[in-house]
Amino acid sequence: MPESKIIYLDNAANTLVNPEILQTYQKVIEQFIANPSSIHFEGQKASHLLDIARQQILDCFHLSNHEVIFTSGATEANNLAIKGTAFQYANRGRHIITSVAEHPSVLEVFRQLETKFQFTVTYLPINKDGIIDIDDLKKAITNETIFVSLMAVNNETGAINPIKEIASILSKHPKIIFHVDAVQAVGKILFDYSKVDLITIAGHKINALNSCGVLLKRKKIDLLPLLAGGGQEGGIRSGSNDVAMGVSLSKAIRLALADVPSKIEYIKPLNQQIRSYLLANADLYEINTPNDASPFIINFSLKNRKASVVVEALSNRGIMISSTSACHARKEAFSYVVKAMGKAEQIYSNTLRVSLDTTNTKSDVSLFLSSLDEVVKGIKR
Amino acid sequence: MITYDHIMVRFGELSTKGKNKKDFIKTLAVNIRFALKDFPLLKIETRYDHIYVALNGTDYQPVILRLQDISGIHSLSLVYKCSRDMEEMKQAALNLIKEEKGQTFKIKCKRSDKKYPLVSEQITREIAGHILRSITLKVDVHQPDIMLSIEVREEATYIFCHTFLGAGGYPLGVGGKSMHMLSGGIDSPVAAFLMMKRGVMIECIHFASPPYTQAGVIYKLEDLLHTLNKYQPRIRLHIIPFTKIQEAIYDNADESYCITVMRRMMFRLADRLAKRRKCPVISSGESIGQVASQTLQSMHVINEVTNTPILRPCATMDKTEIIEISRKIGTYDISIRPYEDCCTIFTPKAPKTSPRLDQVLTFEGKFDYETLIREALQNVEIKILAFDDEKTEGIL
Repeated sequence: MPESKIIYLDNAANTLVNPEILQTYQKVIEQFIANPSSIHFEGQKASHLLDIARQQILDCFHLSNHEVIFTSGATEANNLAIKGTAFQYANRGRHIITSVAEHPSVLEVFRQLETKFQFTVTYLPINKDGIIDIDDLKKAITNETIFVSLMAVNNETGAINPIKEIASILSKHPKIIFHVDAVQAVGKILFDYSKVDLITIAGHKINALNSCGVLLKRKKIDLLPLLAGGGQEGGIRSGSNDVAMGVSLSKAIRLALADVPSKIEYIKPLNQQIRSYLLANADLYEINTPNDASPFIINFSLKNRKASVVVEALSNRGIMISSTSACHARKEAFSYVVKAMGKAEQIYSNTLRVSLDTTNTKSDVSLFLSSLDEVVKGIKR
Repeated sequence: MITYDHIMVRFGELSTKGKNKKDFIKTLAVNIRFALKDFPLLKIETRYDHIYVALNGTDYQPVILRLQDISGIHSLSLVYKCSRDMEEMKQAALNLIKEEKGQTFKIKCKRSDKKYPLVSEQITREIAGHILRSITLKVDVHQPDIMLSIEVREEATYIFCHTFLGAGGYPLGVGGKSMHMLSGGIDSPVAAFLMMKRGVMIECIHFASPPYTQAGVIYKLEDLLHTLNKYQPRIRLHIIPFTKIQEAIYDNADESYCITVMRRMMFRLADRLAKRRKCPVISSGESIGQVASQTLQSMHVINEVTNTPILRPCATMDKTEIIEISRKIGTYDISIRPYEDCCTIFTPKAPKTSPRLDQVLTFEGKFDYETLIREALQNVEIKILAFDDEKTEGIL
């Protein structure tokens, strides 16, 4: 491995921890020593801080009818949202809807419910732009439908589902609870979170620490807890609270949601720089990410090279990008999302994903592109 | 498209206050300026019968919301300011009414400058005529969809369609200061709000009996007062160490009289503190008959310790009415957090609802409460809760 600086372009998998957020974590660990459920003064002090942190999260998302449930991350938040709703409201119907392009922490939960718990699942297809078709959703809804889970921004392609339109359709079906996995959306696109019943957020995608997440839940919805116990988090997620984690995550959310438009403006030219290069070399690359997607993610395929070889060669040069998503890259050799967009086998089997963050610079991107060019033109297959 | 550029602030009851009016307006202007200090582009102009807030491009909605919390304001209108030239007024009125939804309209004109060449009715006719010729709206003077108001004043004309209700009452500060008894329950913050709404500033007195009451209650009090800070930006909180007095009462008084004697001690302390802090009145969240110490007979016996007026703004309200206000001002969810207060510990099984004064005096004669009161006042702990406090020391 060369000693030069690492160029990190895999921010959809994990972001670098912001030192300010780490500082908060450390400060809270040192100054707030008690379990917030304890009734002594230190306990009350910790509980008060955590309450302020919760309120800050709601304020940042402009939510007044929701509450915050801290979780161990997005996977737990997704599991809680999906199973918690399905089990709680199974008496109202047993049909649930999602899409084929969801993150594994959603898809696999639906598969469990389908195979082990007698729920009927509709997996909506995605179109060539990587998003669901509103008409497909309308057709899928039946009297039995109680739950819809759709991601805001696809983690592999950056494609943006029409959440606003979906929410307005679902609002005509008061029985249906709407969950959005917003992991790749927070601080990256602008949307109105208040129309959604359940929202998943992950800390490590917004420069906070790993293993922390939030499920935002509309107050009037009940969830069957996955973890029963001491009744923390309003009884929905038992387990002693990690005050430092919650508070630092609250800060990360505040920073992520501050001035999103200018972050988008910063990222756009970097995205454009990559796109221009890929378009100029159309014999080598095919872009999978649609034009109107989140500018933070650009997914493309190698027309006649092997993606894993390119990832390895770039990695050896200190440039970190991803093939498919990190979450299942070790398991499967192809991208099920890109496959679902209707692409050919060579394309969906050889996808690369570059995901950006405001810490990346124009020169990072230039160096990445020149290295990519050399690597792709230099290897045999 | 034409946009509203000012907010017209109409005064509450103070329009009737004769010579004091100037002070009232000045205080209101100070309060408004403070409340709006987070909006750097606004400009505030004070005139004899209105205050105008020039928006200078600021979104009006958050500004109106802030202004609606300020006491002493009767109503607020979103206005367009233009010259008194008839052609300009016609054009502005037409452009504004085009933005509104509805089929019918009515024009209300007020000419406060009586030297203006046209009288109100003539102005109304001119402008209505222009609107009727230009777009397909109808006039309905009884139930119009759109109410277009025009005020011709000496300096300019103001045109508006939207008026919002203010909080009413008097500007905070013109009513002087009250020593307010704050327990942390539902009623006392509501009573505090009602006092503020009437223009009275408050200082708060809270009785703490550690270890019977929890020190963590301070977070509850802080949150309550921070919520009230939107009406009064700085609130001083006096925390009285009450344990020794409370223990002495339970050693010396009959159980059924403990609450009566305790309330008398509290009012003695509040009274001394009120005098020290130059508050001519005491206020509390008591409501007639709600608990044993709040029956009229109890109030009579308890009140006997002082001549200082004790104002009880919630006295005649039902609990549901009090709760409704507490929800509106945002204190309800904080108030219901579970904490013991001085009144709920040692609760006797059968407290007296009609205590006798001679009995009370006998019990009080059995111990030297004067020394204990003096000692408590020496050890009072003071906190100041302010609107722009950094609550979390930069952590968040």
